[in-house]
Amino acid sequence: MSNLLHIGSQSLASNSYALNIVGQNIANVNTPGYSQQSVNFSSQAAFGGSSTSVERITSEYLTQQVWSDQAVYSQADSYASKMAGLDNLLAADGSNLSKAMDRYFSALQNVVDDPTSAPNRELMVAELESLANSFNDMDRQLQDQQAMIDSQLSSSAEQVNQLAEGIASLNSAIQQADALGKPDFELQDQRDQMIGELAQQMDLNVVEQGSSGYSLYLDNGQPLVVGSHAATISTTMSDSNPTQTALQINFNGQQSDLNGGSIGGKVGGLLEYRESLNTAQNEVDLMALTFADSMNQQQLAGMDLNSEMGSALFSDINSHALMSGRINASLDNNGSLNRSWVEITDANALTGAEYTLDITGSEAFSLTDASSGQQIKSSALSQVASVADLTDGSYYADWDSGELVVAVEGMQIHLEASSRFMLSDSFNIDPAHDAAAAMELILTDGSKLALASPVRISPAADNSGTLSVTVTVTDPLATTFTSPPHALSPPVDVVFSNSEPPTYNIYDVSDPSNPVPLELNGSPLTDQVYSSGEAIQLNGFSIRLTGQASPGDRFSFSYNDGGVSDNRNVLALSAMQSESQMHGVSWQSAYASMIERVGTDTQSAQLHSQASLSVLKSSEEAKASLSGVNLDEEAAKLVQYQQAYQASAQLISTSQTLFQTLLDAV
Amino acid sequence: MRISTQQVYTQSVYNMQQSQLKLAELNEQIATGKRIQSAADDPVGAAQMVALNEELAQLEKYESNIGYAQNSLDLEEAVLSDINIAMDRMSELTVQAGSSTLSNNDRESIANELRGLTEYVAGLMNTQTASGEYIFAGSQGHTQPFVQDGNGHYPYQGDDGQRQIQAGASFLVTTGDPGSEVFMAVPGTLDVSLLGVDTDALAVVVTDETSADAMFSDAGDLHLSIAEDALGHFSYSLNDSSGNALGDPALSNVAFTPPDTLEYEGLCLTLNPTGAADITLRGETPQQSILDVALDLADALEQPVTGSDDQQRVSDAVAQALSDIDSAQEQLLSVQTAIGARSGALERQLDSNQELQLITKSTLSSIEDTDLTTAITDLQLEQILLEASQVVFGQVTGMSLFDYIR
Repeated sequence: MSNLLHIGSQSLASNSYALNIVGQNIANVNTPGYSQQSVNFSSQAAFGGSSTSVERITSEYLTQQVWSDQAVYSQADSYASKMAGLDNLLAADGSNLSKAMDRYFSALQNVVDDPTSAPNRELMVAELESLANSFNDMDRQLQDQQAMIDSQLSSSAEQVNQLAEGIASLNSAIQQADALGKPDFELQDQRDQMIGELAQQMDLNVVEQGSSGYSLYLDNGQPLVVGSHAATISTTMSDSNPTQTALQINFNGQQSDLNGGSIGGKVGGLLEYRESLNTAQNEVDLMALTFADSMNQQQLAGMDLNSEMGSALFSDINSHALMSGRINASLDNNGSLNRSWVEITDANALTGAEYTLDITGSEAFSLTDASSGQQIKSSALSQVASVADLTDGSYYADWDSGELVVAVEGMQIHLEASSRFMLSDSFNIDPAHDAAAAMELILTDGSKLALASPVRISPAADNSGTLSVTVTVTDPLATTFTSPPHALSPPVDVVFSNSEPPTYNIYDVSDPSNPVPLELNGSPLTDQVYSSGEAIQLNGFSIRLTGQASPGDRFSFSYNDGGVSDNRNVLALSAMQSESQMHGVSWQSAYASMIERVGTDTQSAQLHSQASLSVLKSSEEAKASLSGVNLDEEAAKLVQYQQAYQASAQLISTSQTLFQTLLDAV
Repeated sequence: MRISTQQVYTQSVYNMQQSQLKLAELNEQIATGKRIQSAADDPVGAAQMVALNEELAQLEKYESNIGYAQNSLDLEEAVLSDINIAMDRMSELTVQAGSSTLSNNDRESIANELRGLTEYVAGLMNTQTASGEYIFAGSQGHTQPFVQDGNGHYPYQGDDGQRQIQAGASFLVTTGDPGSEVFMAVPGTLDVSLLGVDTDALAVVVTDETSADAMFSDAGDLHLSIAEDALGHFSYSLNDSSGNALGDPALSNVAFTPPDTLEYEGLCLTLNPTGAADITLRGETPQQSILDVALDLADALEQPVTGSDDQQRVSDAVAQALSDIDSAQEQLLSVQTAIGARSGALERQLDSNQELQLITKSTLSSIEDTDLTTAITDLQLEQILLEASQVVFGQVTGMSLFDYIR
């Protein structure tokens, strides 16, 4: 009888406890990360009633799977969504640089049609201005993206730190609860949830280490949380590019760099996006640089409406600020520099790459292309005796006083230290750095557009051959054009003789009544054999004659004073649209391939993101279907335990009745 | 298989979101008519679009260039035909002036009309565009090309520049002709210029223009070198432009005593050196315009005819003028022919540009435009799917065991 009472009260307690668990499950049906708990009943020996234990229904395997899928998905998602923004920026009508160029070249055609028209000239200036603005805007947008990455990186770092700290303290709380024999399931759920959130930021390896709880390691093995110790992640200036943020991890006083390749998660996605952004930025900068340079060169080679030689359209690509911004000494260098700068000598020869220059010996260096990894060693370059002798593929060095000038791939890298360079010091070089931001139209007066060629060609009236002549200005700074200005010094005549094959003499006709043979590099240009279509190089310009010559045919070349209707120079400007300008292609096809590349990357990132979302969904479902609360199930259990509770109560009541019956019987 | 209550909700919501996303995309494709909303939708297509848009912008620009070129050519053509009519009248007047029955007064009135015509033609030759550019000044568009000088002549003030306009990707068309080409077509008299520092040592007279002219166009510039030896004896050599001695026997190291004269191929050279000398002889035939021809004739007609000498002078002038007007008209005609040819080429280019534009536009459209039929079908399908999900959601979540526990 007392057994019955005992069993009854045991059972009452068990079922009431079970009902509480059901209640807990129902209450947490919407709690993220909550794992359903279930009550296990076991019978007690010899009328001992039943006892209960609670179990947290979860699977370590499934949880781990969710975490790692989470890291993959958030990397793909953060990369894809950022790339879509870049993709839009490059291709959208408003910011599309190719469209801006279309508008400019179209305005250029107007002045080709009528170079004397002031409105046409002003329109061209306006379009140049708007093109420069498009480059500036594009740069600003890209810089904003960089700033956005930096701020997201630091907020991610903060979040990672908080989560790591939280997980570490949960580790110790859970350990204490376990030690008391009262495992705290809710804390465990919380910890799993926090690890899940952390996995969204960075890819993790989670290892369960007995009593000390979960240890978290980054993909490259660096510890993030070990037991109750958490690492901290901090942001710092990137060594290779001081304008960008880099991440450092500090665990127990050990500081080390985090690099992009293996981080994963949202942070990994951001770093991956930064790579794409840098590439795009480089390309836009190179486009701005080559555009400004080519336009400037051609403009200098022309003559404006007031018969002056042209002046630059855009600000100097080799300004002091730009030249010194193109090179950065690594922060770890031992030596220090007095000055360093990079001068662009041939913009069209630039490859668009960034470089690292390393001092590899007491008198040796190497230059590495950062994207292709291709290396140029100093031994492969020729050393010249003075800076003036430098040509592409050579270097000048005064090792003792610490001066090095390297001329490669269209640029000259200047380094000046106060003493010898230190071994393994390195320098980062970005030749197109800031070009798009610095692009500025400095010519604002339409009449100053140099649309005409400075050289007038006058065939003699009685020429009887079929010759036609073109002139190309090869060096507008040659004395021919500069001293004195407003004149061709000297004016020249090309006169054909009656030899067979035809020959010609070139005369200096400074005194028209006494032509003297023109001398070039000390030798007179007399009895030159004529070959149709061959360029005749003179000081500062070249002449190309094509066709059949007759004896006595004569062409005079003089300064094109008053040549307002001439459009030869602007035709040359206009032809640049389809000429190869940067790494062997035209500007607009370079831009098109950039759009294609970014588009392809975006597309595959989006596909990857969708695929990894499906994977994440299915592993979350697998976990949810094991650990999630089902209300119908809980309703059934509610009924089940309630009935058992009622029955248990009935047991006690029966036991009481029995006892009363016995008492009454006595 | 177990399913948690949360799953029911999240799964349904996820599905409905996906449907709505697709609906929004389709909606945008239909509303904008563009299939490619960003380069990621079709990277290759997007890159092609950049190239095609560039091509299209160029083609459209070529079209307006052609319009501009056509206008300039039309203007030039109109001016030239006016000038041609005036020249016809000059020609008539010249023929009239040759008649021996005319009085001095008659000739004077012809001369007056010629002067009037000259002014009229000069005005046409100085035609300016609306923006004030002289169309026959070569590159010197702000310089009036034909201005009467103190001698009553109209020397050409422009240059030989010609403007070319881009009418196609590799087709440049010349839009104007310099006055030197169009009008300076009447050959004047051969002029031999002496170049060098010692030109005082030589005087040249052209005695026979035809043979001198032929000789110059055969030999190029001549070089006369005069040497003086220690004893004061002079000798000369006459070479052609390639350094070969001229004459048969060769005029090489010919001894002479100054002053001496030498006849060679229509030239009479008087050598009177004071020492060694080196002189270049250049034969040039300057060209003059119809204006000078008419004015010269008018001058000749205004001189009263008193005897047969005068009569002869007038008929010589008339004959010269007729032949000069002929050359001028011939040149005018050849320029007009060239203008016609250019116009024709422009029209053909315009046709082919328009055809190219059409092709480019249709390629562009096939790449970037939405296929409406497919898009609308897809839209409807997606709508049905979304509605179905919504219905299912309502039904699934409407069921709960709790409803049945009383």
